[in-house]
Amino acid sequence: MRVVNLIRSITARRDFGSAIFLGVILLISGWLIGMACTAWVPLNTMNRFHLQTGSFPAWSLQQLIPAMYNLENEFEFRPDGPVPESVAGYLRTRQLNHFPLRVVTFFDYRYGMFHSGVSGELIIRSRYRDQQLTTRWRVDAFPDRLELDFRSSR
Amino acid sequence: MTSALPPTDSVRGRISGRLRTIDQIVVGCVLISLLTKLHLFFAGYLVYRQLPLADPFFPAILQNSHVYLLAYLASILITTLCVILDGQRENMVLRGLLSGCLFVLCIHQQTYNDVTFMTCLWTVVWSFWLVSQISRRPETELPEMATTFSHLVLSMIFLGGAVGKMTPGYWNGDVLYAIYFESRNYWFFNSIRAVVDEQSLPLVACWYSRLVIVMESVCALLWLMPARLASTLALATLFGVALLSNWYLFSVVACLAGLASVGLLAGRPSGSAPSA
Repeated sequence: MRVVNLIRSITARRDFGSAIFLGVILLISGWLIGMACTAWVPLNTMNRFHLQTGSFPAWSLQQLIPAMYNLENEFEFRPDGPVPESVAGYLRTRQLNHFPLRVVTFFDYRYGMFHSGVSGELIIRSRYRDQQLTTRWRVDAFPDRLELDFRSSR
Repeated sequence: MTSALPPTDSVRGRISGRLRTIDQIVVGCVLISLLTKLHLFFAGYLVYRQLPLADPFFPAILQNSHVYLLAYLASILITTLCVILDGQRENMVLRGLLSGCLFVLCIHQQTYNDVTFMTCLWTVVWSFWLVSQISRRPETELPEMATTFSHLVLSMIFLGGAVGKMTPGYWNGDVLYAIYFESRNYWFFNSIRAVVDEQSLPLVACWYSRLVIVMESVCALLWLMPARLASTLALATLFGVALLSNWYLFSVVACLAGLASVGLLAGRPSGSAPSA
């Protein structure tokens, strides 16, 4: 088997560089298997998607873990008042493939939703089987900037 | 007994031969991935300058749009140099710098959600490993190792896609129905909507979604398959997913396609080659 040959070759040459590369791949793969069979890993992934990981360095390390089109993610925006017709389409509650807070952080939704000065409450929901995380945020639009404030999580 | 010479001219410290060509192709695919983002980056930069976002999570430096633009442009420049230059030492330094720039893009407020930088980063890490090994191992041994590592990286990335979808919303097709089938303006979904009535569309989305999960799960086992089969299957899946989902996915899969091609370009594993 190819992987057995690889391990034999690494061991025979005491090749630490290759051993570390292989070890990191195995570690991340183990984490990913944990996604399917533990409650802890999906919860961590939800926290990662909602920018709720305990520390920024811990979140940064998790960014190396593949997570494309993971979890069932949805955002809902409740504007403070009436919104212009041109913005209404962007504010419709919808599913997102991954990293649902990108509705504020990434440029396309950010411009589409907030360039007209709309402020309000942003609700992000992620679900994986019977686990769910909902976070609520306040988005305030000023003429020259946006401010995002975390309000609650459950 | 003599082993085959490594593909490096040790006097000049230059990388040459088949593995150099393979590495150039893989890094060239990273460059394609990065360049397909070009128009989005400049459009994004204008929005970020006009409407900056203050948030409580990202450090100030990783909220600065100059930082992401610099990291992105540096990534393009360094990747180009990686393709052109053939010195082993400078190639290792360049790949180290490139990994750093891509990691910044993976954790920057304005780019963290774009999976392209994660797939590019893993491809560059593989390339760094290859360049670091090129003077240490004989040419008979390295192609098989390079192929196995490329398949391990690809398997891990497919595994990440598969396990995150093992939830009812994906298995019954609801998520992909909402994201793609309902209204996405893309040739594949436009064609499906043209031939399938509205009531049947969720069922099509359901089987499409299940097919994606099954294909990603199968590709998570590339490391168990014969090398050429694994590479062919990975290439077919990567291009299939992009072609049948949206054009933006080509930036995500281009670098991975380079990685998948290693098993085809590196030839037969050394186990089946004449022994020394």
